[in-house]
Amino acid sequence: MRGLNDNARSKLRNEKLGFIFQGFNLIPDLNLFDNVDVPLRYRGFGAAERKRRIEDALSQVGLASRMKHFPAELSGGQQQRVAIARALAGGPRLLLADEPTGNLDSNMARGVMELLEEINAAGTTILMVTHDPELAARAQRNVHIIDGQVSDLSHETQRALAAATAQADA
Amino acid sequence: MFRYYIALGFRSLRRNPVLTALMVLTLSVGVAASMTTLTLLHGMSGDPIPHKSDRLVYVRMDNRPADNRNNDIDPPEQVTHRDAIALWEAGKALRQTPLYGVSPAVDSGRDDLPPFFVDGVAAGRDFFAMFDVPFLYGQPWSAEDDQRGASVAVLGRSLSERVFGEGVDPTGKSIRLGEKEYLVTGVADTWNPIPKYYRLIGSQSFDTSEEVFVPFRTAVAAEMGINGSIDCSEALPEPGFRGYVLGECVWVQYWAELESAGERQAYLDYLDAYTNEQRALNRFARPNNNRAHTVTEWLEVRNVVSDDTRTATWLSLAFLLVCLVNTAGLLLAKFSARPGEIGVRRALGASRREIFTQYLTEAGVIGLVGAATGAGLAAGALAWIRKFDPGLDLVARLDLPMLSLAIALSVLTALVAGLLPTWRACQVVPALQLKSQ
Repeated sequence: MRGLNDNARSKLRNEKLGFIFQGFNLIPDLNLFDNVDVPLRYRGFGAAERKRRIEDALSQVGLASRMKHFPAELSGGQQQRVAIARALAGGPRLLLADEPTGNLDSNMARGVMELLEEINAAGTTILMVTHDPELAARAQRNVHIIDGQVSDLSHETQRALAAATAQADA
Repeated sequence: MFRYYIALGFRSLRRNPVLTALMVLTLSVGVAASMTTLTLLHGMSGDPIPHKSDRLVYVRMDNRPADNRNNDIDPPEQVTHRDAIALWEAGKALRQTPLYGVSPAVDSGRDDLPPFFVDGVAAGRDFFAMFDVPFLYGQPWSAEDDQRGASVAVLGRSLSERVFGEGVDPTGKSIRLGEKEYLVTGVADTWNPIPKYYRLIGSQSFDTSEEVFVPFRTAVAAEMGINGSIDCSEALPEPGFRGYVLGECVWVQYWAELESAGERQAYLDYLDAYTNEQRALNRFARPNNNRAHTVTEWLEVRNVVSDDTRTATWLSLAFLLVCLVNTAGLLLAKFSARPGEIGVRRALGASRREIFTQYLTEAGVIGLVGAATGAGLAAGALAWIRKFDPGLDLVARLDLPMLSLAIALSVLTALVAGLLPTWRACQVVPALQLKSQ
């Protein structure tokens, strides 16, 4: 990453990564279709391909019928679903989720987590930051960070790291 | 992608309507002021006959007596009848014509149309070819008509339609000008060179073309009154019109069309030879001081574009610069309010270059809207000028090239104004912005 210039980093963010933010970060004056369209525009897809991907992504999060709605017309949970659709539309290999349920009530949070689990089950890696132990417990691996320092690794994670170290030593 | 940025630009106009309105207003006022003065300057300073303006020369000769109190280094701006006829008969150029303004009364003989005066020109037949006068019907009178001073005339389209009716070819019919009947040989179509370079003396520089044309000798023989200036350096040998014809009075404008621009020196040599020859007849007491101005030189000599117009243009451009700085400030305010969106776009894959292009396009869209409003304001200002100064009726009009310039000027101004705000927008660090959301 360090050696990459701005263009290369932008391309990497666009093609390989998907971002989900605590505050959703939807663009308020674009409707749902156009919000999900944003990363696809930078990808250079044609109009038909973009339309297909947007419809698929919004269908996946259950909001296909509200494509022409604006973010302000949706609940917090629905807005986060749109943000997830936006992150998914480009088909990223890794989803980075920064407290995706932080601004949601428990019902909506549960719904978002179920959606993330479905996405993960379909083969997309998700790296999620959360303060909620209940949500953390649903992850396959946990890394605890306190004051910027890795303080504890879950059993699964320790095993994975040990295996990686051994492989490197060999 | 550019269409996407344009669409985003138009969408962004609605985001902060007050700020958008302020920017558009600032730009449009600046553009309107510039376009109004530039339109006037463009109309006044344009080359009215570009394909031959360097071959058409306006002749001046210094026939003032040596003891004349007028010691201006420049010779008189017109020539005497005698010299005009001598040069015309010598025919040293490809084409040549003397001319002076006349204002004959037209009597149509119709009860419903009482006699009226028209503005006209007395000239040689070459006048029409030299100045590219378009013909609606018929043709100019013949060289023989010129020689014998025949009672023939070419009418302007408006006079023809007024007297004979619209769509009627009056060629071969006669028209009464003053006391005599004139046979109509042709009708000149609407023809308004801007400026009206061929007759800058005795006519407004931006006036419409004349309504009737008669042969020079015919007009002189009929003693058609001189509509222009007369300057006599000696006492008249006879009273009245004949005195102007015979005396050292300058009242004739003389044009020659040369084969090529390179022949101007040869033509000046000919003029010098002519004045040397005249000196033997006790004329041209001063050293040779002949001129053969090209069209553009003649427009400059006559100060067709006033210093006031030039000053107003520079002031309006300075005002546009002030508007540009103000627009830059407003754009800075507009773009500074959107670091969140920039951060999101950067996180989702927009490079700095893409952000730069998007926001500069947005500034360009503001310029486009400013151009539309500015062109409207400029058209209004020009209409106001036309109303209060009818002499500028032909000049104070926003034509297609000037409209294109208005759009280009506005968009360019907005783009320049948008450079700093756009550059600042590109410096947004996405991580910082997204953390603070």
